[in-house]
Amino acid sequence: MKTDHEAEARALMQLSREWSDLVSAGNLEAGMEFWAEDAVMLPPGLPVLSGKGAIREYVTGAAEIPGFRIRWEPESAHISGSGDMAFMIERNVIEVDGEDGKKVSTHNKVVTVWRKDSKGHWKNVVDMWNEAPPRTD
Amino acid sequence: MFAAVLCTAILGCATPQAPAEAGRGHSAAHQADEQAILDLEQRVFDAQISGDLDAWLGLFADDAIVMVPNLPALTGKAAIRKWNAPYFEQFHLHEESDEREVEVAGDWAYIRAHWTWTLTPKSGGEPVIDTGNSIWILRRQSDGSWKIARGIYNSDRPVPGGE
Repeated sequence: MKTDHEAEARALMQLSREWSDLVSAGNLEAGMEFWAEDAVMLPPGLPVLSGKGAIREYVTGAAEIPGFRIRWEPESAHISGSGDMAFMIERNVIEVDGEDGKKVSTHNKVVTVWRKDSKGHWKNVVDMWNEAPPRTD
Repeated sequence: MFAAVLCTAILGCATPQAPAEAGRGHSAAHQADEQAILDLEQRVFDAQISGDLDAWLGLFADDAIVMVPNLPALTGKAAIRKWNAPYFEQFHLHEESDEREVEVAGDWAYIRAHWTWTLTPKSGGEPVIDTGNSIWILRRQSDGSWKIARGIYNSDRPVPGGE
């Protein structure tokens, strides 16, 4: 079946937004469903987190930081010709409580790679980010 | 901080490739693509060693975007050149990579690696060494070759205020 790449890209970006909504609302367990079992996460300053178990441990720990909240927004999605791989350019904002009680925000640039599983569902296989200045637009 | 900013748009170097990295049960064409991507990494490394900024930039797509830590994304070759030119002028560049993973998805591919780079000031002084991870998205060109289209990397150094 021929892939409508533009429609697929829009759908994947919407999926990422839904994932962000779930996680920013604190629904971590539902958020874990978006990872592939063999996914890797590459946070700044840490070794590569390989596999869903390592990622679960990391995100669970992050969620315990006082005031922690993450949300993100995809900027573009690129679907492979075969329709079963994709990458996205995204941005995220991470908030935690500062020492003075005020929120401290970190803005990040993000690259994610996605793969369709055997059921045709997109799963995140690579997630990497680094810090960016806050947007002014 | 100095090292993180210095960590410019540099792909991990390619030491001689282990055959296992160039294909894991894929077709011959797929393995050829993976090897071509590892060869591209080698050319990036060679251009860095020789300090040839033009040759290095020639390995990027015209609309390439490089996401440098702590800065806005560098969009387009002119921005990538402007940012990197001082490092080519002022340092001897050397880089190695390991833990590489190459995945080909038809018209694009990515290479993920753990890098170690050394910047030695041409004017003398101690080299700056850093390590970290990178992902480079590569786009197949009309002639079948590959160019760098998107890139992001970060350092292993602890994030200030982080874990």
